[in-house]
Amino acid sequence: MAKERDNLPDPLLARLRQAGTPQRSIPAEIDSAILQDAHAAIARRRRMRLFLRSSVGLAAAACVLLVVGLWSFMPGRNSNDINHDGRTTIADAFTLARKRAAGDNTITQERIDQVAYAAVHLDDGRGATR
Amino acid sequence: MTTSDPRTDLELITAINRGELGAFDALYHRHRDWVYRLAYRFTHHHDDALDVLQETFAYVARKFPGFTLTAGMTSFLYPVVKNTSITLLKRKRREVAFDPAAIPETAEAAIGPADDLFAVLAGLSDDHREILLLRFVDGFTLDEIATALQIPIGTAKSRLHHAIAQLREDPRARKYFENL
Repeated sequence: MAKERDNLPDPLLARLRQAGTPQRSIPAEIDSAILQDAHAAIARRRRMRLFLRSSVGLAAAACVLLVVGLWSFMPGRNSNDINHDGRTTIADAFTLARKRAAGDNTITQERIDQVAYAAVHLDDGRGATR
Repeated sequence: MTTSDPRTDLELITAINRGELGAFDALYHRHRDWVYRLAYRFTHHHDDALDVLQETFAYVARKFPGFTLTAGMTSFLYPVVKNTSITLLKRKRREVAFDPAAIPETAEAAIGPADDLFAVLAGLSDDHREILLLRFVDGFTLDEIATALQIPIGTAKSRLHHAIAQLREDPRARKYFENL
């Protein structure tokens, strides 16, 4: 019953629909203009999106490189500074040698020699080995 | 022609998001007449309705890529057309003071010859007239009406009920209900 009351009689529906129909149609040049503008807008936004995406990727990669670079040049990040005192000295080579003598097989004699060499080799003019 | 594209609105939108511009044409041709009719209903003027049509689809185009449709396409378009029409009418009202040619066509001219039904509709509140036209001219369901008007479905139901009751009670529209 409520459903019936919420419907309209057919002649009234027809009159309402007729009233809502404009007498003129959409010119073809309006269609073309709308579609042309839309295509241009969508293509422009797609290009912009691709550019932003690749820019963000490049920026992220640059940030990673920068962080890695800074990290490797940080004081104390010298791989020969075994005791982390900020310098490479013969004490670092002794530290490694003691560890090897204590049974640490991950430390080779070549590695101890390398640290000892870094500790005693002469500066090449670019600053002291740290 | 793209009008017969068998894909749903959602599928067309997905295709446009992927970069298929032809899918936009299909979406446009599917909805342009309704958008134009709706704009005409708000503006009562052919040229203004065409302006609203253009601005509406320019707005839709700016949503791509990345557009996600969460309701029916017409429910999405309705507030866009309505707000664009209102903005255009406000702008025109400001211009009318300077340009008599900018005066819109009359409402009667927009919907055909004036008759009792037109007078009855004109006498309804904006909310009641809007919901009647959405339901019976545009064929929206109550859910779609609620979404388009951003109102609870209960409000849509009661608004529609009151609008119809007002129509029934009006002596000028009574003849339509006599055989129901």
